[in-house]
Amino acid sequence: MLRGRSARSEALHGILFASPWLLGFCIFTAFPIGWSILLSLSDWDPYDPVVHRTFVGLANYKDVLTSDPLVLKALLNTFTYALMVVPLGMSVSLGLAILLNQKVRGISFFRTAFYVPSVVGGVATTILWTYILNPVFGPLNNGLHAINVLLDKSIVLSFIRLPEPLWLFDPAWTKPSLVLMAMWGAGGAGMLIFLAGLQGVPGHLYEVADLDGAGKLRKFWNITLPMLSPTIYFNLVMGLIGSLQVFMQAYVIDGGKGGMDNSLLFYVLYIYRKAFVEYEMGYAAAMAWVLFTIILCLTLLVIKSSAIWVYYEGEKNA
Amino acid sequence: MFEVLRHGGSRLMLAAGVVLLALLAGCAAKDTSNKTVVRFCFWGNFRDLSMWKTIAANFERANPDIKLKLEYITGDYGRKLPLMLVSGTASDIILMDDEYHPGFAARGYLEDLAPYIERDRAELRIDEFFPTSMESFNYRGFQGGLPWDGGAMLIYFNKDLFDEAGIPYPTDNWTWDDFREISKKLTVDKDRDGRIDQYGTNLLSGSLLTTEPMVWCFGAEVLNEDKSKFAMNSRKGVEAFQYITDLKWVDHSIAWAGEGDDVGTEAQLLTGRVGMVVAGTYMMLTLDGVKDGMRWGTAAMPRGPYGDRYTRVSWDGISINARTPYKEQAWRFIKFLLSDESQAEVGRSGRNLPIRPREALKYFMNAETNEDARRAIDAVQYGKLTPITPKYLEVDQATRPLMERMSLGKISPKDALKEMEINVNEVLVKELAKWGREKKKH
Repeated sequence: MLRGRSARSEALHGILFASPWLLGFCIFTAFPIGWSILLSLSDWDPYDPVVHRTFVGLANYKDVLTSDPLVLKALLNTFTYALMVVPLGMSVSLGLAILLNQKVRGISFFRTAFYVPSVVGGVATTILWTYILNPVFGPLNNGLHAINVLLDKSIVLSFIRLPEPLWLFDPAWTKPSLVLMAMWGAGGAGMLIFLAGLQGVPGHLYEVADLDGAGKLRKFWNITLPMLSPTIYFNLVMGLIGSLQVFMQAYVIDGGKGGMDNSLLFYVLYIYRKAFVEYEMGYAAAMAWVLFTIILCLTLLVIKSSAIWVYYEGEKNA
Repeated sequence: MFEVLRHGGSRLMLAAGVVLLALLAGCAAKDTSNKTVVRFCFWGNFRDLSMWKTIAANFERANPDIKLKLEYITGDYGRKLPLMLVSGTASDIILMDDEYHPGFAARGYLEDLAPYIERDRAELRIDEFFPTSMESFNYRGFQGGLPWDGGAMLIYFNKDLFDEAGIPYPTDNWTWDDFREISKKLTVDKDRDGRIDQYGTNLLSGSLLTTEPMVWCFGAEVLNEDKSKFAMNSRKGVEAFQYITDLKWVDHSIAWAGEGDDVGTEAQLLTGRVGMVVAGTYMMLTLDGVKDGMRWGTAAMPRGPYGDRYTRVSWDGISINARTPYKEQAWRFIKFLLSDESQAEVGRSGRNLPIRPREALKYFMNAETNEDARRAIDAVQYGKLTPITPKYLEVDQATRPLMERMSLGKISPKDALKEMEINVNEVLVKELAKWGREKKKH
């Protein structure tokens, strides 16, 4: 009896002490999640009082999945971007991490230097890049143009001509432009995690490989990559989730208009537009849950596949 | 210790709650004097802010029982205002843009001003207002605001570039054909590197709505009379779009899509990148404020192929929050804003034209002797209102990708208009389904 009471009071105190977090979670996370499910089943103009919601069942989901050509366009845009930016971003991060894992003088300076771009905020970076990529005033195209003028003047190389793309003004170039911007931040968190992973690879494995006469590539392929596979796995999942939720760059570039010919109309940008420009909150909520399902499936797929390609030291059947 | 917490805890928390509530209540306390605090929110730049400060001070002097609290909203007014209205925290008096008005009016957030106007019609001198101004804040018979300043689009040009090319300045009776010829002559590749450095015009920013003045001059309309259908998919509409695509693809005289037209009209004109631009009255103050800038001039909108001349006119309004308890006080401020005294202040600020032609002529940029200012006043007389509907932004969204494909030469004007018609009608069907075709029910 007495024990039960003290256990109860202990539990109560535990909850009480955790309550700031619990309250925050309930109010700002759990409630909105539940609410958005409810919204996705209703038709609601957020201008109107909440009681004016009308229940429409699964109609929003049906519209999202069957009758909106822009949903398809937004999905295509998002996947195209993700397919470009995830592998490329991971390769660049890994490459940088390998470079910064060398034993050279002043390595901590280089590590800082490569990390700096990702300290600069995303909006500032994007604005900077829209200037760099401006086809008329931007240094990139002016540089390319100057090279082309030189090439024209030379006799031997005059047949070569570098492209001077319109970048953010050509629907075919808008997504590569964004990938280029993303590469600038490749020295960020992804690289740090790779670096940590690299430093976790036991040195004796390389020594053994040296004794067996393995070359650099061989060591990379047979030791570094397998030992790094948990890190790659983590970065892949995070990169996938992040790139499918791409929003900020497209929003900053032209205020959310979706880029030339809607080529930067990413899925999350379209959700935003539906919710806060067209005021179709229910539809937007349904779109968000569809995206959640897509990301969930893809992540599960990666997790399932990880059994085949991810190696954990100390695992029995590795 | 836990014992203490358990017994004293609830009382302690209760006490903390009371203190917190008291603090919150303190924040909302009224002015210590007997004045009623009335809140007024507005957008604008630093010049606007100082104009409102002056007007507010004059108002408080004339109305000692009211304290006007200025709520200056920087950033995206169009996003902030809906949030304030929905959450019930919006100011009592609201500066209203003609583009937002139908959306707010349709949803019942604004006070119907018709009875107030009826009461004070003589004092307001509504009959002297510029034409179209009252209509601008009338959504299907619902007067959700009163206009207080405005202006029309004009052509602004760089005189230096005209002199360099030996082109006479445009007369007020020119046509869009003249415009095209001049535009061609102003287009030069100065350093002969194969890239054009100076364009005749920029004309538009990739949006159907900014091309409207030109479209009207060609005799076309974007929406039909009752704003229920896209009306531009017509022979005249095709002609208008053919005209701008010809400027781009035949003459190359228009900076459009990736040709430096993303830096803002002012910058393009001031740097000599383009020779002629279409811009509102606000441009005059901007150009005037540049020391040692280029010499500039204005011209009336050119006439179209059938002799028509139109321009876009737009008005800024002021509304009363339907939920405010201080409606009478708010109305007194609106009347004050429309009085001679405040309208003189508006005119002197140079931000836009005062609401009555007489005061515009008297106070706006010395219009009696300044021909540019007078041209701005004249333009209002041949100006038209954009067909703004609650889904105005979506009409822009539905047409923008097609404008962009046209600017890239990827779709013909004819096909672009065909697709625009489908997209825009889809938006309007949704709008009609929500608010109906007839007068708004309350």
